[in-house]
Amino acid sequence: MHRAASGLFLLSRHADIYWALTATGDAFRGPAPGELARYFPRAATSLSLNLMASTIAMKDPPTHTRLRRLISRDFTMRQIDNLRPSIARIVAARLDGMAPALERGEAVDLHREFALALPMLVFAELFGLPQDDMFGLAAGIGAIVEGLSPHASDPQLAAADAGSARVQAYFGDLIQRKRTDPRHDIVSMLVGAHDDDADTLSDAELISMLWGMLLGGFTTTAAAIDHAVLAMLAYPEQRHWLQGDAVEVKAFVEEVLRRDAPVLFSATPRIAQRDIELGGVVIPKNADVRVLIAAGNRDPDAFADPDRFDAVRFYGTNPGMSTDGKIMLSFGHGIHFCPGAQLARMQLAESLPRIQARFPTLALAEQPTREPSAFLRTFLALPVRLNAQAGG
Amino acid sequence: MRVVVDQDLCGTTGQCVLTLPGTFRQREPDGVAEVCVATVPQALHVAVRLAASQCPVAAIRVIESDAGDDERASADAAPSRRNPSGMPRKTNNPEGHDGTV
Repeated sequence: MHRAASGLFLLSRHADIYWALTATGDAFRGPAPGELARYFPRAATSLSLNLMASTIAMKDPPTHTRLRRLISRDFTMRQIDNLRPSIARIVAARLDGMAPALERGEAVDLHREFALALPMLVFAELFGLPQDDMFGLAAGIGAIVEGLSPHASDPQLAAADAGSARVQAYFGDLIQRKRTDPRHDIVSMLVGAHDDDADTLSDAELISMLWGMLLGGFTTTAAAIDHAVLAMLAYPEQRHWLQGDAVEVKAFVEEVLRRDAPVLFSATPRIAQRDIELGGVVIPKNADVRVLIAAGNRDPDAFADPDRFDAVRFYGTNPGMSTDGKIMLSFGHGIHFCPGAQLARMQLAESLPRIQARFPTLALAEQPTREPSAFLRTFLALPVRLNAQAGG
Repeated sequence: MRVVVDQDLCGTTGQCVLTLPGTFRQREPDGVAEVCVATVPQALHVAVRLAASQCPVAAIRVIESDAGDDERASADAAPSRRNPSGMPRKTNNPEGHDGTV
């Protein structure tokens, strides 16, 4: 455990993180509306921080339970499974789109053309958005997410707020459109729930819910796809996992998620409900505790030789659990477990074997460009080409 | 063996359904998990204990009280963060602290 100069308590051991995530809603809580200024000193003037404060990730039961169950309908395993054909179709179309340039020997930015495009198109389908609108919205997401880091500078937060204002305005219009012309999508469903009973979903909660899903939804998925492709290219001896059955593909996907967690630490505070002793240190009541997810995933006490990429750790196990019975922390644990976990896993599982089969000689054209961030492990570009020499 | 899901506690993650789709399902309107078998067949006992241990909100309770089932006393089935049976190796749990003073 580390006490940062900012006063945050940072947990880095797998066991401590696992415990804190499990105890959220009990030993830890989210900030109450009246204390927002204490935990987010700039909340009074920041639209982004205010939107975040109304998201489900900051709520405790029973409010959390009420909001979570509203969206859970669209994220059941059955609903996600129903999306599989659409996801497979989008994957195939994006790879087709990249093929001509690659086959001409040109470099293609796999991040932009595939890793980011896939979750954006899936999101557009889930939300019932025109694709062009989605691409417009997506352009501002990185700046918003970065503004939510505790380390964000004032200019970063201002950029985030400008982006959030655009998103808020867009969703305001979208809500009106879905109200007059409801379809089978998440936005229509949430608007219906709000209009039926504002106690079920308030105005602020509706906007924050949409904003939160947009932010949580695809920057992270894109980063996971980027990392998976980098792992394919870096460890050709592990590619056989992607030529195997679903169990083998799953093992590769889980190992990517473990070794390269897109979210390095939790953006939302976990506030100690009482003095809590952890590893001989007392976390005082009302302290703000953050969990270092990526560090926990590489804790040698949980995952032996943790920097090594080895899909066998997750071969034949339940999703999210290693053969040693350790939980992979990238989707969290406890009440805030990522609602989109299975959607993200499916996008990875539908993508990687197809990339492998379609472009067996794929290689890096240049080193990837990472986004400078203390908070997310994301990319700006991942240039690839086909290697004439490689045998696959 | 029987298994129950605390539907007030259920976090709607679908983790149990993903793991054991023949034993658990999710309610259509809100994603809350339900058990779809009256009793758990012997062959699935280990898998059900493991699914219970993996539930992110510990909402799954295993009741091991069938006559003739001597594998484990029912006291071990509490939906807690303790080391569950059926794990390939212990443990997910931080040892040496209970998190409070």
